Amino acid sequence: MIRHALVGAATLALAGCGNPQKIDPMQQVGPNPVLPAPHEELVAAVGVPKVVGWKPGETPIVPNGFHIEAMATGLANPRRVYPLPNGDILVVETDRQGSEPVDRPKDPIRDFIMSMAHGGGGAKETEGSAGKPQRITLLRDANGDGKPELKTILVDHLNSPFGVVALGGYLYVANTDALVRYPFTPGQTKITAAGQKVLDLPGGLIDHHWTKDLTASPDGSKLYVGVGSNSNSGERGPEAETNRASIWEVDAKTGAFRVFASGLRNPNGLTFYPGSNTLWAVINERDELGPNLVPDYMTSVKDGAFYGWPYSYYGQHVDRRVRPQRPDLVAKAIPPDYALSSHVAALGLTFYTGSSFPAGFRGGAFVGEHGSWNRTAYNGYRIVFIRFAGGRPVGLPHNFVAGFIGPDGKARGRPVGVAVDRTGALIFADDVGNTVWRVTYTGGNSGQPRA
Amino acid sequence: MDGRNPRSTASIGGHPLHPMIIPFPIVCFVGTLVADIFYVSNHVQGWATASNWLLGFGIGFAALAAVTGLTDYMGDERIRRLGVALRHMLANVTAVVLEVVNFVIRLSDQSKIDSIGIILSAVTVVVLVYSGWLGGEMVYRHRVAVLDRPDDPAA
Amino acid sequence: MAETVAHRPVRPISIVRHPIYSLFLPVPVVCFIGALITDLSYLNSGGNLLWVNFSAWLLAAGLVFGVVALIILLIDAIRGSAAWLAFGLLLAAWIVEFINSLVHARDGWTAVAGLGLILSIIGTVLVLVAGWFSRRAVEVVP
Repeated sequence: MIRHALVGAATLALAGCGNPQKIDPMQQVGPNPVLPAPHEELVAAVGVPKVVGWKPGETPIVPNGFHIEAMATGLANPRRVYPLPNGDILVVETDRQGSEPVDRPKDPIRDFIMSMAHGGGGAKETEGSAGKPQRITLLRDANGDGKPELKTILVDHLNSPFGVVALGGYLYVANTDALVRYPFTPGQTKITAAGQKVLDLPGGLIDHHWTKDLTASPDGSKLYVGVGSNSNSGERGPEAETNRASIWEVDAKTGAFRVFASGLRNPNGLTFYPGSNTLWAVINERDELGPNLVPDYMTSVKDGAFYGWPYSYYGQHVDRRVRPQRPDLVAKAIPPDYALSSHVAALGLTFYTGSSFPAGFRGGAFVGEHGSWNRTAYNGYRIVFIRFAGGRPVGLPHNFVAGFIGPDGKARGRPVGVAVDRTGALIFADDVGNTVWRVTYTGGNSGQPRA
Repeated sequence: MDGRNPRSTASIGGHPLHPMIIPFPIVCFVGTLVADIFYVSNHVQGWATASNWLLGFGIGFAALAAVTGLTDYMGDERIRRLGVALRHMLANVTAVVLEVVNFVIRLSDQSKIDSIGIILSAVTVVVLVYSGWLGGEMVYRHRVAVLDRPDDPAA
Repeated sequence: MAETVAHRPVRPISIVRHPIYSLFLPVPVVCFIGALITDLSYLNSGGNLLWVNFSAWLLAAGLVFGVVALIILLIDAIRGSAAWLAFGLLLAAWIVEFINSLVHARDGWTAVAGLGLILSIIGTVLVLVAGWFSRRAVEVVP
């Protein structure tokens, strides 16, 4: 009797925890997103499309008047693209090495599920490297036709690199555990000199959010490094989060650093707004509070500001999971500028500085949304465009590149880093599709961003 | 008339206490070995801390088990006559002594887990397999503390 | 008297006369009780993650060995050498603690506070009662 009642109750409880996702993602964009109450499901919703890659001739979808073509294929998990002033493009092919130490039974189970998210098409081995890719490839497209004449490995045997910056005769590379630099002048196709370590970065055994993005201040005196948190919401303990979940400001000459802004769970896409001294970034917010919490966001990053992680989100919305609580920090947490909706996994950000796209694009932001895992209805898996006016985002995001998930629900590719090349074309890295794509404007319709 | 089977002195309402308690130190000491194996493989502090707690609780529960076991041993001459009982007791005492030494060593120097600590944990588990088997023999072959049944032939 | 003389109890599945289910049944009992203790320690400590991780491991061990105990108890119950009530209670405890392990997988305070602790208490009570109804393992030997 008791047994039957318990089994019945258990079934009901599990069924009742399949929460319908009643919130339209468009209600969660902009400065005032709708934030529902937290809903911790018994089994966290997982929706990860199987990776099948691109068939020959298959491409992502772009709006009328635009044309997309693969610049380079057969890469190994490309995640960052960095155009140099001479037209060369650096492609960072990278992945995390090893897996996180096991703290609790959930860890290996979760890691297995996450590995399916990046499985299938990613990280092929090619000659010259063993194991996961850890290198920067150089593409030379001198005539700007989108078909590189040269594809060569610039530097190899890095350590889970992510952000790169060419500055002052050096190429700075943010490995997961150190900022290093190599003597480098644009025009070089190979780096043979040994790297010089500028600064240690928080790596370690856990290294949960391992990508260290990098950018330089407009005057070239400072570098900014994005350092993601070591956990989802502090469940690895406070010691694991020392100096993490923050953006560091590094003196390019001396390597001295200070924490520029904190409470940013996983900041990437660090970019200064053109013609300003305002740093912008896209941030991946926390998981397992339901399919519609917490929206990822794009924000200007203020010096000395605290943005909430782990204690709260969007200002004073407290995360009940985090103990001991810090009401003092929650009180001074500032909300971000522009929400992108939940679980889109924004990893790339660039501002349009070219002139080959229609005028409506100038000064606006392209955001690479890698795509969701903590929802059964996919979100992200696209590149969106957000118009800026007066240095501030306005309006809704518009889908600019889509079609990464096919009609069969399987992933052909997933966008990561975005950049604007010398010709004003948008280029981006597609990690599970192992491709760098290039989007040009060919005319035809007005090509204005869709309303 | 005492009945054919050796009786347990440490019992409540006819239910012997010793068999109820022994799973606790056994699970704790096996858990200590498991935690040691995890610690030696990844050196995450949490596993060493878990080991210490399991070891400490195991020793405490073992003391409780020892008290009930000794009470039973002293309380019925038929148990004392069993060679199995003496071997069982000596094996258990050995196990507890090993674990107390284990505990003291690692409290003063945690890195000893990698060398002597995990060895002591493993040896103890082996000893417990032996003594546990003997305990089973005492119940299932020699019928210590088993309820007498009317149709059992008299001693 | 007539019943006890006429009815010879069936021997449970054994290795050289040591019943197997009595080897495995204590493991989930100890683990689930242990998980309740570590849950209380977690709440008492104000959120020291060591304790909730400990709980998660104890629950996992209890569930894994609980499956073994359930299978053996099921076979013995069918054969008439163990009580169906013991099997049913252990199954109920297992289901409760399985759901409990999902709750305990949450990242932090909400893994225990509220639903987690309640399920730990219910599971512990059920498994203790299941153990009680299996005391025949040591007290009645055919």
